[in-house]
Parts: sequence; structure tokens; C-alpha cells
Amino acid sequence: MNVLQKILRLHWLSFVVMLGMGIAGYYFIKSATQMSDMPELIVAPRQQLLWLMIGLFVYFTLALINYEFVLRCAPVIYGGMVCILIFVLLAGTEVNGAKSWIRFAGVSIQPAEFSKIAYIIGLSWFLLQFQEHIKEFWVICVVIVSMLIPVGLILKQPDLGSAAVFLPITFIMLYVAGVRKRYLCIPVIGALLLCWLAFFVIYKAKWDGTLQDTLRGLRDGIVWTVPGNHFAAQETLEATSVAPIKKAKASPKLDAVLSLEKVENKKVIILKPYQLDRIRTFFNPNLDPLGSGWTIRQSLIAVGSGGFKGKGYLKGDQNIYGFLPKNIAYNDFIFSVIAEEWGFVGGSILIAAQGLLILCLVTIASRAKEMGGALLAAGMTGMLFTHFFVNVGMTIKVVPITGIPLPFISYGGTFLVACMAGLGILQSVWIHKKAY
Amino acid sequence: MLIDNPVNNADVRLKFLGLSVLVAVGILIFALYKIQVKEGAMYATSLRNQTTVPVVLSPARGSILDRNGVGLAENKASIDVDVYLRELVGYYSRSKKGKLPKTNVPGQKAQMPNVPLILQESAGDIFSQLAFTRTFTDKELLNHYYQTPNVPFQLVHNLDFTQLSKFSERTVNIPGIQESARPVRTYNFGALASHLIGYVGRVEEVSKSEFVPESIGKEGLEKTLDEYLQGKPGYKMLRKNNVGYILGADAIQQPSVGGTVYLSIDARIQQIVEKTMRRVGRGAAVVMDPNTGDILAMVSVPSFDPNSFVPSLDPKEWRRLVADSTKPLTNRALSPYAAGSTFKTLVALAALSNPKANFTPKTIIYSPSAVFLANRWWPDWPNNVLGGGNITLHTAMEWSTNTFFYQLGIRTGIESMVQMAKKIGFGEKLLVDENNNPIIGGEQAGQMPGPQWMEDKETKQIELWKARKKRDPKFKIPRTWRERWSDGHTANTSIGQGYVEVTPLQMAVMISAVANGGDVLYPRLVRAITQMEGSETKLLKEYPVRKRAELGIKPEYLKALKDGLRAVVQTGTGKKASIGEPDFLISGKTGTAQFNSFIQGSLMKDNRTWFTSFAPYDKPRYVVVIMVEGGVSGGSTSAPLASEIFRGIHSMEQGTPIEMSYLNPAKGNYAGVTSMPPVTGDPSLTGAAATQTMPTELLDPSSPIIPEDESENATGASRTIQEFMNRRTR
Repeated sequence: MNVLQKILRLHWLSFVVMLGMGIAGYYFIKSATQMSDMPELIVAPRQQLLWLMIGLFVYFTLALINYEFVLRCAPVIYGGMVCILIFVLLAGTEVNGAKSWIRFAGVSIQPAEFSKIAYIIGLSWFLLQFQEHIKEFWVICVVIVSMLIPVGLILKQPDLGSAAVFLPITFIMLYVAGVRKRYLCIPVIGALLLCWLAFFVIYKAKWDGTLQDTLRGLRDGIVWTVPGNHFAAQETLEATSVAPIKKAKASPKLDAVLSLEKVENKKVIILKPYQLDRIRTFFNPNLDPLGSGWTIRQSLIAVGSGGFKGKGYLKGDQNIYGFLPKNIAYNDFIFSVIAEEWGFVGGSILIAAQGLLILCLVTIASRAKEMGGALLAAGMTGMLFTHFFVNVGMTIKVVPITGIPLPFISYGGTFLVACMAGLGILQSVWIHKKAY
Repeated sequence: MLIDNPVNNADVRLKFLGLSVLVAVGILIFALYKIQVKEGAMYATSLRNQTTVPVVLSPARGSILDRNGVGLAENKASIDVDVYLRELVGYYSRSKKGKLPKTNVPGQKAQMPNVPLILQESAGDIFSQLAFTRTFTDKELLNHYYQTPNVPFQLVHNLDFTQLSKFSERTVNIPGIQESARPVRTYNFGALASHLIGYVGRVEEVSKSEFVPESIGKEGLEKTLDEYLQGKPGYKMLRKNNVGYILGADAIQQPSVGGTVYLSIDARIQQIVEKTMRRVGRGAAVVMDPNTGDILAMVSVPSFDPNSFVPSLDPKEWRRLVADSTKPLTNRALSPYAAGSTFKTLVALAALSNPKANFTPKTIIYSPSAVFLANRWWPDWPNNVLGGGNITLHTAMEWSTNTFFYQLGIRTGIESMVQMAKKIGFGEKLLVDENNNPIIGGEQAGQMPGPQWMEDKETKQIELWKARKKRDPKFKIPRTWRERWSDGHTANTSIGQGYVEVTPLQMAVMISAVANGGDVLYPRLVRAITQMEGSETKLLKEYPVRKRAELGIKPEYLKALKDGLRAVVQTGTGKKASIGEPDFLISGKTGTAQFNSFIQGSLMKDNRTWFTSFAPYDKPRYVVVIMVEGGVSGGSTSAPLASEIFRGIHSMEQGTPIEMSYLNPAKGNYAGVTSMPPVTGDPSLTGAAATQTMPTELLDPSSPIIPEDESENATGASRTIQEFMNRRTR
């Protein structure tokens, strides 16, 4: 296959959708930064365009390389990724309290974004190597360990959002690889349990690290979840106050077992206070409208006031008047700006376009010549899907606020190039797809 | 390989993955739909609330002009410092991460932001640097914040230029504080016609929903014509950003200017009368055009400066005004007084109009120095040498002969007098519009006694006692005769004593009717109200000349009466009213009503001395009524005042320019009040003993007397203060 043949066999739909979103992103960033006077915001749209060019170069380069070669390099890529992540912790640049940047010759990059792609390649290679043992538990253990290495390093920066993306990527890749369902149930149940804890312990019991709060939250949660108590407790939960559920409603036996009052109040802090606040304001944005609830409230107002048709390009009041904080409007909260300017029409078109691109990846996965390509596509699907769902979801109160960008649209050169690199590899998978 | 392995059938799983993506897209689009389409309006409201500040633009109050267009009450621009309290508090709260100092407000359950503290922290430094004086209390500030958050609070009034430039430099960084020019009421001639025009003040009780004007008419025409004078407010939406800076304004509606009120008052005549009346401590004067009923001037002394009420009166000054027993806030021209001999004109009118009285100007009635009527002797006033004997109406008017009028009163009967009084409007409010609504507050009806009146009065008194007995079983109804009307009452009423109470305005209406040949006209204070609409002037309301009644007297009889009145000034009791101009002959009637009032706790002789007059004799154009409290007699106290007024009007008509000047309030005093003479008989029945010699002035006229606590006036005044304070605190 020569170069021309390869180019003719490209998956053009995904390319057009991707490029379209990339170019649209340039205009959205321009709108989001229109009222800014900070130098780094003023140059942002043009930089994004520059990164898009670089991204296209990387995209086509990788598309024209056989992905199997990339897969063969996987151990090196994974190893290099771990090294760079360690390097960031040692010699990175700190921005906004997170040491996640490498500055080199005037260019700043975020290795954490590239590490996702590297991890996908690494995991694809590993699962491909041990395809026959996929039903065995040790494979999963190894996968988890290989995941925890980059996750740990990224958490150390700290960048909770990027680290969290590794979980769904791994989950989807394992699922596509054909891991036993029962193993996959564990993270699902775990996630539900976390939601349960977040609601009862962090939100309702106002957990601030003490064991007593934990136990009280657990007790209330159990009281509410046990079917017999359901309706009695429901009323209390529906009451607008966030005060803990009254003791009278709780089972005295449970109290005795937990011996709530005797518990020592020693603080065990896993999450930072601002992260706890984010979780709480997710459940109730009006809890602290001027503090931690400010962003989600303003985002909702921006999106909601856009209405069906939107206010028109460059006419988003929430953005112009600075109620949507300027330093996040052009990256993590770009969807609020878009939805305000373009309304439900524009917002749903964007969601549909993102969904279409992801479905393209699923198609690429299903047409892959062999398992390695399918896993690469599944991993990319997982990554783009997580970014898309969480980013859009947080602006419209479907998920709690997490600082991860919207693929191809949010400002952020590293992530843009990383995503385009990933899609480039998938183009290669598509070029070498199986023939019916 | 992938396809062939049924265990590793990735296709099924990928299809499931694709389905999950579709579901996720569905969830997001549904959530977006819910927020943007279903709840869009709600969020749009939130956006509007946080990006805009509605501001009410106050309309400029309409002017009050005299009949020639001279501005009496107008607006001037005042540069004020305003603070939009909601913005200030919002900005403060955001800069402190939502932590606001709270304070309790009496009467409110919830705690409120401590606005005074916030203001102090935000702008206290600048204000002390610029030496702004603080004219408001913390409570006012809090109330304003609670009740009218959309209206800016006025921190400082009337900045001068240097203060303004310094202020503008320093407050650029504090959102919500800005300077603004606003129209402020100003009364061009100070105390001139202060009782008529009244004054404006701040609105004290406000409801949250309605527009609250910056000032509202509190007294006088400012109060009764408030609906015309207040323009319609305008609205403006200010756009602000997340830290409260005002970015721009979308003016939605400009305020309209209020209506212009044209008075019947002639400012020049008002000025002449004001200056003349300053010679007495307490009194009133009315100048009227007898042909139209237009009030050309109306003065009450003492007076006040309505400018001191703008924008709000110093409580100390208010207390002083209310406690002042000379009552500077009362419009004496509309207050009833014992009429004295001026009432004889009415008796003459009644007798001439009553055919049953069998009385003509030529009828001679024997009038000795005392007559025996209704079982007692009724004396004439002492030393009435020239007015006794067999006399006609002419002489009786000229010398104000009491004995003539006792007899004439009985001859025509009280019913006839009551009828005539009713025609003229004694015992009624006259400054009213077609629907009987008062044109100005504070007018009192006075009273015209008669048999029916006495019946009602006694019945009412007994009912009051009965009602009191019901409330308080210990109360004993006094054992007393029910007073009934008798000839004695008629005789006493005939010389304007006893129960008769007439306002100077009513007196002017009566003399006007005599002067113009028999038409009783309603007095007219306001001629028209106009309003500018665009460049056109629209007539809002017109007050036409209104005829009330006709006297119903033969012209020759009326002529004879006028001759009698002319003789009063020519040769009789009112000689001092003459100005010696042949083209401006004055006719009039003097009057001195015996009256006693409690002053400084003791009963003092406090006569009401009248002079009611018109001029010129042939074609009367002016009616002047003077009433002075504490005067010596109508002839010696009031007639010279009328003379001075006529002289002023005459020279004005000759072309002498009248210099309009700013008037300070006239101070009240008790000049002319004397201690009681030894009581000989019933003081109310001693007649118009006008020429009694007066001792030297008991009281220093230059210092107004503040009554002691036990005096009736003082308790009245302090109760009013209490009411005032209650109203303010409510």
C-alpha cells in the first residue's frame, strides 16, 4: 500500500468532524476570551490554531505509520511516559498549584494528557500479548498495577481530573478485551458505593474527615436505604435543610452498635476541602452561591439563559460581564459559553457531533483487523467519551465539577495534539481494517 | 480471528459500547433541554437580576407660578452623592466570600446586613477626608435598604465644586457610589405665601411595590395638588459586571415633568402685603379681586420658610415651630375669629334683603347710648358721640353704632341673618372645587350661630356626655339648663360677638359681593394647571370663576350700604385707611372683637381687630381684609395696614416697580396683648368697646413667647410633637 492508497482509505467522516470541531473551537475560544485583558488569554485563540496545525501534522504522520509498529513500541512508550511523569514531578512548572507542566523552549506541555494515549497503547499491547489468559484474574491485577503507576504520579501533581480519566479508559478496554463480567461488576458496584458515600457522608453528614461524621453519614445512609425506613426518611431528605437526619428516625440499635457518641474525633483527610465542597455543591448549587457554588450556578445561568436559540455569537452576557470566570470560560467551561451563545440548537448539535465522533471510533474498533487495533480504538473511545461526558455534564449539573477539557474545543494545546495523535493512530487502524 | 472466536466476541460488546454512547448523548441532550428550554426563562431572570440594576429616575416636580408667571416654587439642581446600597452590599459580600456582618432591625424578624458598617468600611475614609457631614441615622440607612433598594440613598446633598472634583477622583473604585444631579424644590421668595404654597418633604411611609417619589407635598398647595405636581417617574436599567462596575445604561423611559400650577396670586401684591403685615405680631390679610373672586394675596403672620423643609426639616426646628404658641404653621387667613363690628355689614345685608324687616336705607332708628332689649340694657361703645340719636344705616355704619344694630338685628331676625350668611358662605369652607374637595388644607369653616345651630350644639353636647357616661360610669352629667336661642343671642350676634366666628377669607367674599354689586363668588386660588407634553402645553385642569349666589338686594339699597362703608373711611371709624388719592377712594368697615386668651398661663385681653375694605369706590378692583390678633382697635390697628396696602397697590398701578425680595419668616409676638381689665359684668356682652385706652405693652414684641408647660397651648404643642415622633418611628 502506498501513501496515496492509504490517504484514500482514511476514515474521512471522523476527520471532518474532528477538524470541524477543532476550527469551531478556535472561534469559541475567541469568543470566550473576547473581554480579557490578560496576555495569555488574548493569545489563546491563535495558539490554539497553531496547536491545531501541529496536531494535523502528528495526525497524518501517525495515520500513515502502521499502527502495529506503534503497538510494538508500546513498552518503550509506556516506559517513556512513566519517566516523563516522574520528570514533571521533579522539574515541572507549577501553575495554579499543580506541578503538571513542562516548559521547553517557550512551549508548555502537559505530559499528563499524553500519558493517557501512551497508557492506551501500553494497555492495548499488554492485553494483546495475554489474550489467551484474559479470563484469568492475575491479568486484571497486572492491569490495575500498570494503571496505578501513572494515576499515582498524576495524583501527585495533583491533577485529580486527569487521573480519574484512567479508570473509565481501563474499564472500557477490559470490557472490550473480554474480561469476565464478574470482575467488571466490581468497579461498577464501587462507583455506585462512592456515589452513595458522597451523598450521605460528604453531603448530608457534612463530612470533614472525622470518624464520627463518617459513621453518622453511614448510619443515615443505611437507615434511608433499608426498604422499611425508606418513606419515613424520604421526608427528611426532601426537607430543604441539609441538617443531618434526626436521630429519632434512626434505629436506636444501629446507634448502639456504632456507639456514635463515643467515637474519637480524629480527622482522616483523603480529599481536599475544596473537593468536598465541589461534591456538596453538586448536590445543591445554592449551598454556597458566592463561594464554591459560584461556578456551577453561573454556568447554569449561562446555559439556561441561552434558551432555545441562543443569544448569538460574541453576545453571551454571562461571559462578557465576567460572571463566568474568565480563566475557566475558555477551557473547562467552554461549553457554557457555547450553549449561551448558540442555545439549545447549537449545544445539542455539538453534543451530537461529539457523539458521532465517538461512534466513529466504535466503528473503527469493530472493523479493526485484529484485537490490538480494536483495543486502541476502545481506549480512545473511553478517553474521548469520558472527557466529553464529564466536561459537558459538569456545566449542566449532570456530574460534579471536574477540571477536564472538552476534546478538540477547549483551549489546551497538549490535549488537542494528544487527541489528534490518538485519532491518527486510529486512522491507521482503519486503513488496515479487515475486509469483509 | 476476532469474528471466529465466539468467546471473545468483541462485536457484541462494541455494539453495547456504541449503545451506551447513544444513551449518554441522550442524557446530555435531555439535561440541556431541561435547562435551556424548560427552565430557560428562570435562568434568564437570574441573569437579568445579576447583570442589571433597575434605577428609578425621579421626575422633576412642576412649578408653582403666580398669575403673571413669576415662579414661586421651582426646582434647582443639586449635586448629591448617591449610593446604590444593594450594589455596595453585593460587592462587599463577594469580596468577603459571602460573609456579611448582620444586624438586628427592630420590627424585622430576620437579620439584615449591617449596611452602616459596610458603608463605613467601604467609603468611610473618603467621607472623612472630604469632611462630609453625616445627615442620616443608621436606622434611616437600614430602612432605606429594606424598603426601597432600587432607589439610591442620598448620602450627601449639595456638593460644591471642589468637593465634587475631589470626590470623583476618589470613589472610582467603589461600586454603587456615584454623584448625581437631581432637581430639588426651592421657594424663590422664601416665606412669601408660605402658608399657601406649603412645602415638600421626604416620604415617610412607603410601600415596597410602588414607586416612591423623592419628595412629596406635605402642606398647602404642594400637598393638595401633589398629583398634578408630581411628574411620572422614569426607569433606567444599568448594566453591571461580576464585580459591580456599572458598564452602561439602557434608558427605557424618561421621567416627565410635573404640571405647572398658575395661581391667582399676584406676587407683587403678595410682597406688598407680606411686608405690611410684618408690622404686627399675629394677623392675616386677604386681597381679592371682587369681580372674579381671585385671591391676589393671602398672608398669615407669623410665617415660616418652606426652604427649611427641603429636603428634610431639622427635628429641632420642627419642634420649635410646633411649640411656638404664636402658631407660625397656621394659616390665619383661613382660621375663624370673632368677627366684631365687621359683621354688621352682614346684618345690614340681611335686613335690606328681608322685606319683612320693613327696612330701607332711609329707615330711621332711634339709637341712644343704651337700649333695653330682652330684659337687659345693651350699651353702645363708650364715647360714641357722633353716631347716636335718630340715625339711618349710613350713620350707623359710619360710627358703628351698636345700639342701632341691636335693634336692626332683632327687627330682621336671626333666621334672616343665617340665610344671608349661608348665601355668602359663613360657616362653610369656600376654597373648594366643584366637587367640594378642598383646594388647600387647613381651611376652617368657622361658625354662624342660629336657633338650629344651637339646638344641634346642645344635643351634641348631651350626646357626648352620655357617651362619656357609658365609658366611665363615675362621670356625672352636669346639671345645667339646655341653652336655647333668645333675642339676647340675636342682639349679641348682631354686633359680631358671641358665637360668631368668621375667617378673613369669608369676610373678603362678603365684601367682594357688596363691592361687585351683589354677586357672591367663590374665592379662586388656582387658575389653571398645565403640563408640557413634548413641545406642546396641555391644559390639565382649569378653575373657572364660579358664582355662589346673589345677595338679592335692590341696587339702590346696596349703593346706600356702599355709601355707608365709604363714609366709614371718609369721616367715621376707619379714617386711617384713606390714602388721599382721589382716583382710589377706599370704603370699608372696622371691627374690634373682644377676646381673651390664655397666654403664659394667665387670661389676657387679646382683641381681634378687623378692617374689611374695597377700592376704588366707583369700580372696585381690590378687596382688602385685615385681621390682627392683639390689636388695639380696627380703626387704629388694622385700617392703617389696609391703607398701606392700598397705597402700595396704587403706586404699583401707577407704574412703580415692586422689588421682589427673598423673605425671611415673619416672627410672631404678643404685641398689643394686655392683662385683663377689672371685670365689670359679662365681658362678652360689653359690646365693641373699641376705644378703651390700653396700658403700655406688657410683653416685649421682639421675643416670641414660648409658653410654659401648664398652658393650654404648650400641652397641645407637645402632644403634636409626640404624635410627630410616633409617626416618624413607626
